[in-house]
Order: sequence, then C-alpha cells, then structure tokens
Amino acid sequence: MAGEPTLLRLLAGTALVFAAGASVAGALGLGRRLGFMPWGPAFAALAWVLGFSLAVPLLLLSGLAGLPIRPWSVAGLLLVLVLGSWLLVRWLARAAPAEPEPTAAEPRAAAAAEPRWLAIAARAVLLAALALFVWKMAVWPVWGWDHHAMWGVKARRMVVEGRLDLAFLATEEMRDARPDRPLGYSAAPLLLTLGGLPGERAFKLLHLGCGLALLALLREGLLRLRLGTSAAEALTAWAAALPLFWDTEAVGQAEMPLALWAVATTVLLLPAHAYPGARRAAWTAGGVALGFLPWIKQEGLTLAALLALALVVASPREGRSTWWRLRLRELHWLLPPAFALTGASLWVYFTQLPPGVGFTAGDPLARLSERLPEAASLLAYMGRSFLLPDALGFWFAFAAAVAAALWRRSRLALALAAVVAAQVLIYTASTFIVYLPPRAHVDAAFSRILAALMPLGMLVIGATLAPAQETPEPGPEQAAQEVATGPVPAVLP
Amino acid sequence: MRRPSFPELAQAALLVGLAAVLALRGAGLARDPLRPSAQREHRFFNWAWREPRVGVVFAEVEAVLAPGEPVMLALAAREAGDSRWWSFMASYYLTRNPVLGVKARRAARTSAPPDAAVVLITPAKPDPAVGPGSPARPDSSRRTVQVLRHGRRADSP
Repeated sequence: MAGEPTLLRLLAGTALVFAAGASVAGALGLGRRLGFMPWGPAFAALAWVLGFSLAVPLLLLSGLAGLPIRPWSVAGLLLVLVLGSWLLVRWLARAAPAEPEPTAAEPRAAAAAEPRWLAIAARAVLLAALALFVWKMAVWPVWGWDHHAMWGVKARRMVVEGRLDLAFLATEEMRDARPDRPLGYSAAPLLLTLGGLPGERAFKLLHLGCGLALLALLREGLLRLRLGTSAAEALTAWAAALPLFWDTEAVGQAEMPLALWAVATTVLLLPAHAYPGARRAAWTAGGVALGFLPWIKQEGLTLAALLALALVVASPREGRSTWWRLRLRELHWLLPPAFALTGASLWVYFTQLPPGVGFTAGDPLARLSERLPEAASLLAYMGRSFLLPDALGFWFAFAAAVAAALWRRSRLALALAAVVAAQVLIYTASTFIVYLPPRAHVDAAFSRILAALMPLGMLVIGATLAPAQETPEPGPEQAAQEVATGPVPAVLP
Repeated sequence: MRRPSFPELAQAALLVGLAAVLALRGAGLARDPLRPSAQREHRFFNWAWREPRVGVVFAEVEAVLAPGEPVMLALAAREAGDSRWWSFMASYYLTRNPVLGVKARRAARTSAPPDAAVVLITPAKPDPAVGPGSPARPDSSRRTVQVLRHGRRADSP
C-alpha cells in the first residue's frame, strides 16, 4: 500500500528497538547477574521485550504530549531510552547497596547424561517447527478479523500528518472497533516503522519477532527449571506447533504478545529464586515486563496481577529471614516499575480513550440469570475448545501435570497452574455475561485466547517434570551472607 | 549402550508425533500455500477469510483518490449485502480518506454527496490459483476499480 515504509526502514526500527532493550537489559545486569548469555537467543528475546515495554509507553505518552511522530523523533526517542536507561540504572546501582555477584556461574542444571540421539532429534524437531512457523508467516496474508477491525486499524490510523491523533476512535466508524482497548499493541509496529504507516510486512515482523522471542524464552525457562536440554527443546517444539503459532488468524492480534510478556515475566523471575545476588535485577526487570501486560490487552491487567501474586508466593521459603520480609523485599523491587507502567496504561484508558461497547454493556446480571439454566450445555460447548485436534493434546498433558504437581507439591508449578486456571475461569465467566450471543462469543474468541495461555502452561509442565531439589540447610557462609543480603534461596521447583 | 529410561522413551514418542504433524503440515503448505490449514481457519472464521488479497483492490482505490477525498464504495448488489466486512476493510486500508459507506451501485450513485468520489468495484471471479478441494476464493487481482466524480467517470484524482 502507498506510504508503507521500506524494508530498510523496518530493519532500522527493529535494530533500534533491540538496541534500546539491550541497553536496559545490560544495565540491569541480565547477562552478568542473571546468566543470560549476552546476545544469546534468550538475551535477544529479553532485549525485544524490554525495548517494547519501555519504548511503547514512551512513544504514546510523548505523542499525547504533542511531540511529533516522525522517523527522526521515534529514532531519537529510542536512542534517548538507550542513554537514559543506562544512566538511570547506573545511578540507582550507586545509590542502592550493591548486591553480591551470583555465587553460581551457571543457573541451569548441570547437563545430565542424555542420549545423544535424543538431543539431536529434539533439536531437529524444534528447528523444523521454527522453519514451518516462519514459512507459514511468509506465505499467508494477514487476514484476522480482529486485526482489521481493531488492532491493525488503530495502528494504521493513530498517526496523522506526523502527530498522534486519537480523535478517530470516537467516530461512528470506530464504534465497533472496541475504541477503549489498550493501545500498546497497536503502537508497537510504529516503532518498527519509525512512525510510518504500518502494513502487512510490519505486522508480520512484529508477530514473527514475538513468536521467536517467546520460543527462546520458553526454552530458557525450561532449562532454568533444570530440565535437560533435549526435554526443554522437545517441549519448546511442542509449543511451536500449537495454535498460537500455527493459526494465522492470530497474526496481527494481541495474543502472541500477551503470551510472550507473561512468559518473559516468569522467566525473568526464575533466577530470583536461584541466585542470591540476582534478586534486585530479576524483580526489577520482571516488574518492567509485568507492567507492560496491561498495555497489550485488557485481560493483561488480571494476568499481571495473578502472575505477580503467583511468583511472589511461589518463591522459596527457606533461609533465615521470615517469609514476609523476603516478600516485602521482592515487592519493593517489583512494584515500582510495574506500577509506573500499569498506572500510565490506566491513565491513558481513563483520560484518552472514548468509552466503547464493553462486554458487560446492558444488563449483565439479567443475562447471567438467563444463561445459568443452560450452563451445562454452554460449558460443554466451551469444553470442545480444549479438545480440538490442533491443540495436539496439550490440555490433557496440562491436566496430568497439575495432578502430578499436586502429588509432588511443586509450588511453582501449582502457582503458575493457578494463574492459567484463573484466567480460564475469567474467560468462562465472561461468556455468561457478555452482551454477544454466548456461542458466537465462544466461536469468535475462546480458542484463540486459550492459545495465549498455552506457553505458560508449558512452563507448568516443565516445572512438574523438573527434578526435585532438596532444600539445603544454610551453611555458616550462607548464613553470614543472609545477614547482609537476605536469605539464599534454593533452586526451583 | 544403555537402555532408554521411561522419560526418554516418552520424549522420543512426543518427538515422533511432532515430526509427523510437522511433516503433514509442511506437505499441505507446499501443495497449496493458501489452503486454510488450521482448525479455525476453515470453521467459524471462514467468512472473514473470504478474500485474503483484498488489499490489492484497496491499493488501486487509494491510487485513484485524492488525499482527504470522501469516498463511497459501490459494489455489485450480491456483494453489498455484506457491507460490514467491506466497511471495516475500507477503514483499515483507506487511511487517508473518510469512508462514507458501502452500498450497492445504484444506491451509492444516488445517495453519495456531490463532493464524494463513488468507487465502483467490480465483482470478483474465483481464483484459479486456489488448489482443488479448497473453498473458492475471489481473485482480488481480477477486480477492476472505476471512480465516479459528480456522476461521471474519472480515472485520476
């Protein structure tokens, strides 16, 4: 289409987002303190996540303040982020007492003796799944209804003559386009196009980047749960074959980023459990990723709250500090970035977005009482989404993993499973009160939003399969360290 | 060589199953790249996936409009019945022009304001490139676009 940016500009925008994210990741010490190999796949994925988490709110807020959205201004904003984040974190590092360096050089399990054939097979299947994902993205057009009617149309219309202009959201034309939904996902491709009109190429690039980042972080998370490499790669390959990656309907829509940011938050907080010296870096970076969830989609708010609760509650209890003191320290690092980003998202919602037709429009209680008598058939209808062949048996494995986690009392697996279950319950409950006909609502969205929870569910399976670790009694050196820095937790799960 | 443990065998079974799924999907994609291949692509959302290359049509429409010029889309009567789909597509693709509506040809000509351009989009024929067994999809590149200003045909802004 006319006015869409060149490939060179898209690549420049992508490189700048990476540079901004890598700067934040480096300044937070994700490489040095948390053991993410600099410019390895997981580090690059976190750079992608952190870059968007900070640059998108900055772009929208500066646009609302009247700053132009032009190639030079978007590039300048990303460069300011590079410099500013680095300076700020350096200043904070000086102002706050230093944390000790990690005591362990390697956060993952020592490579268990795995058969070589299994490792080769797992790597080959993972690469094949990745290749198929990329291939399908390359040949299929962006066609999803919600992309054209909601996410994509906002991305293409929010910048007029180089200025952020949200007036179009209040027009009659946009009444059915859910004008009150968060704008973060729609604004993200504007970073890749450096403020230009995003077209199919930009939306696909964003989807592809989020998908690859999600798989890199899922693999990293499974390894950090101390699964063997071949098991981690087999589960990652399974995730790459699930509907979130195979259904092209999801391209240009917010489910892939929602899944990515949820997994990124979880993976960022995993080292906090394993490293005595990494908690501040992990919880601060985790807070940034967590705070961006409400920018992506409305259910990102509940997902963020549930994830924060689950990951704080699931952190190990051992050590000499009391449980609540450890939690307070973690929250002290997690909440400022998470609250700042969430607060900005809510401010945009309440002050800048016109009211839309909410799911609860009209009389939700009347609809609830009307639909309750047919609850069994409605639930059965929704249950079919769990059994679709495209899900490749994922939900059966998830249910088995939860049962095993209950038996093993795997706290992390159960906490994450509770997040997945609570989100499913929220989606299920919404079907009983939504203003749309309930079966049409299920057909239109239920499978797609369930698909966004699958990667988190894969971490539940991984946490259940991971070898149990005995909690060691703190030795004299560790006890001395705890006095200075807080308790030294054992590894997960 | 030691015997594989139960977890290793389970993992191998998972990998074999995944390899089979990926091979089948890859073969399908190679045979007919645009055939709906995921569950939801040929179920509920079949109606949304009706004309995957409609962007080509709107690129042509955009090329004949002046920036900011209001536009009324005029379709064949049988296509104008589903004006909602066309309205959303028009909002998505025509970012520089206010879209006044999507109507059947006759209604569009009579109801368009004088300063609006009426864009006639001819009906599409089925795409011959779509493989056997796939649902018929209109071939967007075989549609033609004509613009009327003040009731007269005009080929450029």
